[in-house]
Amino acid sequence: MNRKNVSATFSRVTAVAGLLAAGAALAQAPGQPSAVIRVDCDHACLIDFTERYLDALVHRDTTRAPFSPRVRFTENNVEMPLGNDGLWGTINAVWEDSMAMADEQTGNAVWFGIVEEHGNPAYLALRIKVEDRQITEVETIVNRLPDMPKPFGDPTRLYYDPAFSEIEPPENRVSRERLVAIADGYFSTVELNDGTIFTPFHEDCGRVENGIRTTSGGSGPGSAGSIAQGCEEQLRLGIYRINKRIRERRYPLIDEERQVIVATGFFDHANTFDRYTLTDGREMRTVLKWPNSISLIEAFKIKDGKIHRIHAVFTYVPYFMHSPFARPNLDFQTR
Amino acid sequence: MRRFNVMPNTHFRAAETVFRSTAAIAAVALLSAAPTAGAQSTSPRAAAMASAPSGCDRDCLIGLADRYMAALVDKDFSGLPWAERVRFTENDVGLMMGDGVWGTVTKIDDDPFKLADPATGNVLWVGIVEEHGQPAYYAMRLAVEDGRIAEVETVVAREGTPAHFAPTADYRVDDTFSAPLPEAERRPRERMIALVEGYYNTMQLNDGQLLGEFAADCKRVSNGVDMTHGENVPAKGCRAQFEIGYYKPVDRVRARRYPIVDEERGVVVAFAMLDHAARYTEYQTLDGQTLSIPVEYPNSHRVMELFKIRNGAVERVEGFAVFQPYLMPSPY
Repeated sequence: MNRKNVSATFSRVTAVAGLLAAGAALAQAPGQPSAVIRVDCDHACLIDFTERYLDALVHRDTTRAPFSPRVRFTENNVEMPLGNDGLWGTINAVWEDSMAMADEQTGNAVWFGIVEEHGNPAYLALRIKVEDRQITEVETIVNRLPDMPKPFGDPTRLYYDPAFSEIEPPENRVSRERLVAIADGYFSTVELNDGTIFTPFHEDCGRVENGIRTTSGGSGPGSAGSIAQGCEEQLRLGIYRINKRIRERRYPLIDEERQVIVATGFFDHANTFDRYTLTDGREMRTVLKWPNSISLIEAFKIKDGKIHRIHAVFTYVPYFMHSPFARPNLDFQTR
Repeated sequence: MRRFNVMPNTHFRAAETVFRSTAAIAAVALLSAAPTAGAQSTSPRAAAMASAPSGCDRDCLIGLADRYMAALVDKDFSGLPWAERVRFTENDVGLMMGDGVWGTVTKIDDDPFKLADPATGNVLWVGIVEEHGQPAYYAMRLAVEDGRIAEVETVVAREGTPAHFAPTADYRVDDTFSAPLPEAERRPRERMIALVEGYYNTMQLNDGQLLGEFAADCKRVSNGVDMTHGENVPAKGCRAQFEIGYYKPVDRVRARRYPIVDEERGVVVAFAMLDHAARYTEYQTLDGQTLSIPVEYPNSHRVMELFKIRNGAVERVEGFAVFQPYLMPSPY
């Protein structure tokens, strides 16, 4: 055997070993630890974790909930140590009225409610990820006052629609993939909103943003509800034209039983124009004249394969700010 | 526990490291050849100045700042001399060139303040810009390498956020920042930076202990608001305010950088983040006043501030502050 053959044999062995290793690594969907999802914390268990998190938060005591030693915590997209900074340093109350949802497959749970900081109410949207019965991720959006002009409804009148917790009959459900497509289509409709509709809306569709029903009634001059009523009707008018980009869209929570999907993302308002025309010819003026972004956690209830309810909490962040949880080359480039 | 970053920006630090290594190798070589040659400076800055890393003197740097601003108002950056890799940020977020204020600007100040530092290759342009007719305080820093723009850092303080904001109509940077100092009133670059550090060290967790030197008539202006001598201030002047612990709610002055120093004019350009954890809403000053914090939830301020250093003391501080999410990271 000459040297060349030795080398060739070695290469073949290496290649086979490599293929075996690669085969093992790719025997399930990318990003999944196993081809079979082991559910060790079901829907009720995950909801309970949100309660345990909030209990720890309001007591400002991280020992009251099971946190992973490597837990990641963000508040309004800034990563910081858990337990002393941000809301953990200011909170004095968590309101009882709230709404929670969960996804057994991904281990994510989301909670919408009101917290108080030094007695001032603020809207909190919370996402936690539970792995091996420990909280490994905490993502929070805290919508506070004072801030720039934005919806901020009276927290005492906040309405949590029971539809989000109602289990849908199996024959009325659509798949996880379709739930993502419907929510994603909503964002594509809002993005560069020119009247084109990319997703199905239930005729009874309604949306609550930061405690305000923005698709019905009128919450003041210039509010979406005073311009048009109804999800699809508003979008057909193109009232959300200022959204240059709906970015870093993620769908960490999908509940097929209840037909609920929760998204996170950013709405970029580049504001390269400060007036625009609706599809019915009316002229609109932007409130803010400079670039800004809003960061949100938004839940969708799908009924009969159509968007029925939307519940969102958002706050302003610097223009084009990113989420530490987003995957830069995937969530950004594609969105 | 977070640690304060009191070092210059990463890029500058990297450059310094290279210079230091080069200087060290050179020093070893010289020591081997002629031990007496060790008497010359081996400081990174001296090496930087000798090799003119920016390839651009003061006039060249100011010229590039003017060209950048002309391009901005024309909304056409194609004719500018760009480095191979360019970093562009607006209020601490990296953007593609042409985005952010490039999409909204309608007018720029015709009487801006400009300051260059050939030793670091940085230049600053400060003034008012308008976005769809709405004025904003604007600071723009370029870092130049080999005559080409490698970094553009912009700080834009706009009206309508929870941060303080005075009308811009009569605003211009105080003339003192442009006026050269008599030789006797100047201080070396290192001492100037130490004095600014002392100012920020005194400000953070302000408890009355002075960790710097402050001129008797020291004044601070932020977003056009006179913070030291305006209405309703609890004490007049930087020193008096620090002595009563007025700035106690500033928990941390973080990510401090000093990319431009002008010894002749006695000016340091500082970039920093002021963190307000807002763990309390009221506090007592050391002279017994009860004060309220302006925003009762955690927030940070991105600041760009000019420091006038005269006779070894901080005489005037003037700059802009942008309301940011609490603990917002600095990209530099």
